[in-house]
Amino acid sequence: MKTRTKLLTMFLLSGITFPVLGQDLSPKEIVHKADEKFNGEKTSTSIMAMTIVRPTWERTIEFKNWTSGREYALTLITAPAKDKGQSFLKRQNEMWSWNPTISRLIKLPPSMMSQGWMGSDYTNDDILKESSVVNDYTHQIVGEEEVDGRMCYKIKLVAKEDAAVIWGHQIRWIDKKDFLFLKSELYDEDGYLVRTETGSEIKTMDGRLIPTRIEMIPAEEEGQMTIIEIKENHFNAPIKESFFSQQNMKRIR
Amino acid sequence: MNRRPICILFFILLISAGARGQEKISLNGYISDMQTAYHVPNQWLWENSLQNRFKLMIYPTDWLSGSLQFRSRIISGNTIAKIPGYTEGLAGDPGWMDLTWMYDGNLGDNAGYVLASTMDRLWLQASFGNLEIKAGRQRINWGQTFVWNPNDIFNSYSYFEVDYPERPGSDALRLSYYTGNASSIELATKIDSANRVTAAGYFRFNTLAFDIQLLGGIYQEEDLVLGAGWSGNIGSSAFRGEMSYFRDLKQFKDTTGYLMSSVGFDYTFSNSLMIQIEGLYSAFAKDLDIYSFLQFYSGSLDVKNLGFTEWSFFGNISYPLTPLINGGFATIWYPRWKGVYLGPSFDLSINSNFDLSLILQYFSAEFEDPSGHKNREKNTFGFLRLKWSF
Repeated sequence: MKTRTKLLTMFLLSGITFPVLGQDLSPKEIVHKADEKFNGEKTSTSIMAMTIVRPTWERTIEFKNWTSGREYALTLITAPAKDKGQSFLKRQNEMWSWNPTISRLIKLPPSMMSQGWMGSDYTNDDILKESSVVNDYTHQIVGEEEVDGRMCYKIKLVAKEDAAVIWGHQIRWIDKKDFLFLKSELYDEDGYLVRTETGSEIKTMDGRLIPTRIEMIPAEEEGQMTIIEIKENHFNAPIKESFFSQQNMKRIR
Repeated sequence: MNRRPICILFFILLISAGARGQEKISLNGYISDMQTAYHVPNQWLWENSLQNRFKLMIYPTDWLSGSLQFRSRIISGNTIAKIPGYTEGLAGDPGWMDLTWMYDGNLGDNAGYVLASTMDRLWLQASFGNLEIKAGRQRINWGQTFVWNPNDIFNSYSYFEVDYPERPGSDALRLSYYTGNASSIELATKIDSANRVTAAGYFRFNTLAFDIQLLGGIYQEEDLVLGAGWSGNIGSSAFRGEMSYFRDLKQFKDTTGYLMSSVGFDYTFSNSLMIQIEGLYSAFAKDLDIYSFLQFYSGSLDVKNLGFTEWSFFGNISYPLTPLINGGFATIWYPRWKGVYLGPSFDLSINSNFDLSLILQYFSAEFEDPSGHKNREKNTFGFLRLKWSF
């Protein structure tokens, strides 16, 4: 009986899933699927390390990150010692930082959004997921190419005119089988390549296959990059919207 | 009255409560060494300060947390002999509990070095859902702007102090109730070393992308205080402000009260260059009798003395010259004194845990002595600090 239920469930689930995996996916759906796979359909909880690599030095920042959709995010720095306990909250279009050393909650202006986060090549926008690769761009499949031995859709994303995004267009290579962002090229409004991102060290986390190492390489800067390593990731845990609060910014550990 | 037994009992409670699990304790802090040179009228002063900050956090249960933090310094230099009352200044604790220890070998001005240690945080917090109760020595920071904070009635402190970002704590009891994700009500009361009570209520809410706060209470049993503050943005630059109104309770009918307000903007360009401007108006400054910058240079301040002159204007630019070196240049203009403060600074990250800072402070202003004679005073201070965070 149990086996039958299991089989039935599997059948039902696969019945829903398999047609979506078919060739008739639109480029927007492919990007949407890959985005949800990496960021979680509803919520995501992760522990990450970010290493800023420059020709003569490196710095690593460790942090925990909670997100719910694009609207809510909470980030807590856990290392290095001098920054430990600092937190960042995003609720829709508003952002705050909490600095426990001076017991001060600061509301951050929109001009902070394009700043390098903690001195890295990532912006606040990248970390706090302000813009959406699904809704802020139009999508077009421009080919199929292999990246690290995996066959990928090559998709061009062009920023919509009214979208508040910092990129003019993007080219993304998305694994055809597992819907993983394996490579992305980000171009500015004048069409110049600004940075390349690659996803590697594909591992199963919380039952889901994802790249756990993201390398971000600025185009114009020799020997410079930012590496994100995902150490833990949980998807779609029930996190209420009220979790993303000023009270939790101060309490979270 | 010796209040040390109370704090020591508290300390034992903290440690015993926290000792149950390793992950329930965190220990951080820093050790820094700062060399200071002061050029004040007619003389040079120098000082070395080896400082340790020790920050213990405990989380015995989900709902209970606590903290114990020490600031300890070994100070040497000719400042001990040349600044009158220097060692007594280090021995005094501004709070109701006396949690400051000072050792100068009973040599006073003749001491070659002084040891000074203050427990500047010592609190327990209980959280029940949206309600938080925090008791003990803590920092209550209601500021919204960056330089002058008329709303920060619990912990006013000199902007020019470069080696004490944490600032002293207040011996206080605070109730916070979070009415929403970005709104809260707080009731706080503190008692200082002169047994004066400050008690105030605070309401913070978020509307139209602005954080707005309102507060009201009694300041040091002397004044009624009413205040309002905000943080938001105009375009993509931040717009922040605070205003407080004080009125003497003893002469309530005979006086109209004093207004103090700070308003500021900050903007960060896409290349990380940040500019800040802020202005302060203080009605109290009219009554201040200031004949030297050094009067208000350091230490705890009465919030009423935030403004040295009726109007003060601040500007700052800050820019990461490389991701490891941050340069800043701050300036303050005091129109009535024909005075200016210039403060260039550099911070270098040597590695993840070591930082080197070079800070300069220059003051020039015209003061009038009691005989009406005008005199321009110039002071230059330099600070070089190496800091290891753990």
